[in-house]
Amino acid sequence: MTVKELAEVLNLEIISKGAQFDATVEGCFAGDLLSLAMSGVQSGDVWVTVQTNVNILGIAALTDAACVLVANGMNIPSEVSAKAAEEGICLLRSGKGAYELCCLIGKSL
Amino acid sequence: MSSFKVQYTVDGEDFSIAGDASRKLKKVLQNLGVAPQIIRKATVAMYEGEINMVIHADGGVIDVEITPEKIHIFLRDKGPGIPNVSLAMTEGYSTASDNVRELGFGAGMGLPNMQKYTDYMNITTEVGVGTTIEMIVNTAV
Ligand SMILES: Nc1ncnc2c1ncn2[C@@H]1O[C@H](COP(=O)(O)OP(=O)(O)OP(=O)(O)O)[C@@H](O)[C@H]1O
Ligand SMILES: [Mg+2]
Repeated sequence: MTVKELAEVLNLEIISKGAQFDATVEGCFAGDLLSLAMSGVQSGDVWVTVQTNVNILGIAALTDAACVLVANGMNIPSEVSAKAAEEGICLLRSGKGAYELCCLIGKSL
Repeated sequence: MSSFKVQYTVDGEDFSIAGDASRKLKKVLQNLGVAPQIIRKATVAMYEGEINMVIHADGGVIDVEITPEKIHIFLRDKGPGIPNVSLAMTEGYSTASDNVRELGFGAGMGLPNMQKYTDYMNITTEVGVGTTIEMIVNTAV
């Protein structure tokens, strides 16, 4: 399943499509501590987090995450949305919590 | 490919660009045709070191030398130094402030990640003078 298909199935809000929107989702990692995400997010993963500061983009870029999925409808600062678009990072959002999102992603993959 | 050198200055004030040096290194390594799993190891280790320079040491300078055999990274700062290196290397140990923790830093996993993702790591530090961290990632798979 591609990021685009996942976004449709889970009815995710698309903040930035980035360069990976048509890439295949390989797996999923959930967590909000950045250095855990840094070692835990694998290439092609959806990273589910409530963090929305600019550092999530660096982690997504360096881990080759398929996308960052912001849970619980957390507010995303406009400069973070802008930088995601600029850097080609796929940034998505949902009002659902991390557990529910992970269950749904698990079923979809 | 002969030896290739790059230097990055890390701003200690600006959180919004923290991690940029590691992203730039990733592009350099991609252009040099380094294998993706080696790029991941080197850039994750450098990112953790770079962020530590920003949140614990008021910035610094990173030198990277890339040869056909290895990626050699030096992180140098003139920050407060690390009083107890083995304690700092312990998973979960962190002196990060509350406002830095709110951003998701402070798991105390940065230095352990750097150790895990590199083939060699050496910390030289003096309280009140600064810290130099040398890391090597072998490029031969
Ligand atoms: N360059 C540095 N200068 C001074 N102290 C440092 C430096 N790097 C690390 N430290 C000290 O070592 C501790 C552990 O570092 P480490 O990177 O493992 O965790 P952290 O930065 O606190 O949290 P995390 O990296 O998980 O976000 C830090 O909290 C800090 O006290
Ligand atoms: Mg750290």
